[in-house]
Amino acid sequence: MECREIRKLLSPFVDNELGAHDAFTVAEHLEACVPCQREMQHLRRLDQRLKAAGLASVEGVDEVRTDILTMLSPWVWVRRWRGVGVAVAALLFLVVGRQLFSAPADPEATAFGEALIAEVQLSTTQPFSLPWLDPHSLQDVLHQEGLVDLPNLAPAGFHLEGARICYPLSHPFVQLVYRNRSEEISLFVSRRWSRPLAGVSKREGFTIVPLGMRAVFLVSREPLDNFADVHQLAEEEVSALSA
Amino acid sequence: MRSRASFEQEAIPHLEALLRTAVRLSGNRARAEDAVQETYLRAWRSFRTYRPETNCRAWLFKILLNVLKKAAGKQRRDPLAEAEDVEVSGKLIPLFPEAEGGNRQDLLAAVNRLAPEFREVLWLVVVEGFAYREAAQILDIPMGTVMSRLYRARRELRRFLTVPAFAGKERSSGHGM
Repeated sequence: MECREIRKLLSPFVDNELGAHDAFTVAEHLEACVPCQREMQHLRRLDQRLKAAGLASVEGVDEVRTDILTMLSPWVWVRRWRGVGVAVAALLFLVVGRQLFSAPADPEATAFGEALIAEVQLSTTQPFSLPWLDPHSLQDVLHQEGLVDLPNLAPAGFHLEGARICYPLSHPFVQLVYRNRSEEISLFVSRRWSRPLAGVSKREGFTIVPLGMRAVFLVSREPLDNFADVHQLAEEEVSALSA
Repeated sequence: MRSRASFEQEAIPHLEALLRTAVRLSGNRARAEDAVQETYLRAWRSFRTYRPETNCRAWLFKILLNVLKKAAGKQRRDPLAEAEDVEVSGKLIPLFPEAEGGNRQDLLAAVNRLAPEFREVLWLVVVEGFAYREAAQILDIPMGTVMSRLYRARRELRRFLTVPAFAGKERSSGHGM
């Protein structure tokens, strides 16, 4: 076998992945070929360097471990539920009375927006009056709204931590809380939107209102029957907020 | 159903390997942490079907690679373009640092210039020590492909280490997963 062919086998040879016959052939060639011996030594030294460089410890492992253990502890039922494929949507909806949101000049819309922002800001330190939904209640709402088979709304890298009904202005909304290691995002969902909120972005029938850096207020003016798009839109919004 | 304690005992010890691999393959620390968290979340959700004879390390790496690829697809841009720790200088990178003054960062920078399909197989086999068969399972490719990619990855790496690094910036493809 010529050097050119042998050198193609050197890579699996140094990895001890050659079959006995080929390994013997390579070893026999190496005994008599100094250039190929050098080539193999180069390969091995390069591997040693790469392994030493790659295995150098990474920083922050303990923090990541703590985050993961924390992530696994609460809301186990929610994650299991998601795993089954249903929780995904976890969206509820809610009934927002009528005309909750109005044009920019509408004082009611402004009041609602401010109240909601205040509520969201409070949510990180104070619980809403209603408790988190248990699995049965959540399923009831999803069945009622025909949302059982909706895909996951979680932005990339976030996991669903919980869902609950909230009352920013005495009108019920469903709040879906997603979390990653450092951020919490709340999606407020309504299927029965009647009027757009001032100054919000509207795309393909969806209305998305960013609230500061940590929350996204997502509302649909139409029945939300395509949540894959919602997912994409929410993700884009989160990316924009994080930029 | 297997317990959380069992999961922690079997899966958590591989965290550091997963994190360093995610950092290297994604080129970004924050995305790497997110990917590792997502990996453990997925693993935990399917842990009830986990069997004791399963190679837990390979199983976690397979999940991680899938998470990274999915994330890279969503980004629709080269993840290494904004890498925090990936620097490609215009100087010559010596092959043997002890003789020519090179360093770890130079070598890792050269690794990051490899096409992602080469980089991931090189990393799994050389750094993480997976056998070809395991790497094939993790990457969901034939063993023959693992072998050929490794050969080309090593050849490319040596080329990067012996030619001006800035030449690699002209590559229009290959970064990202």
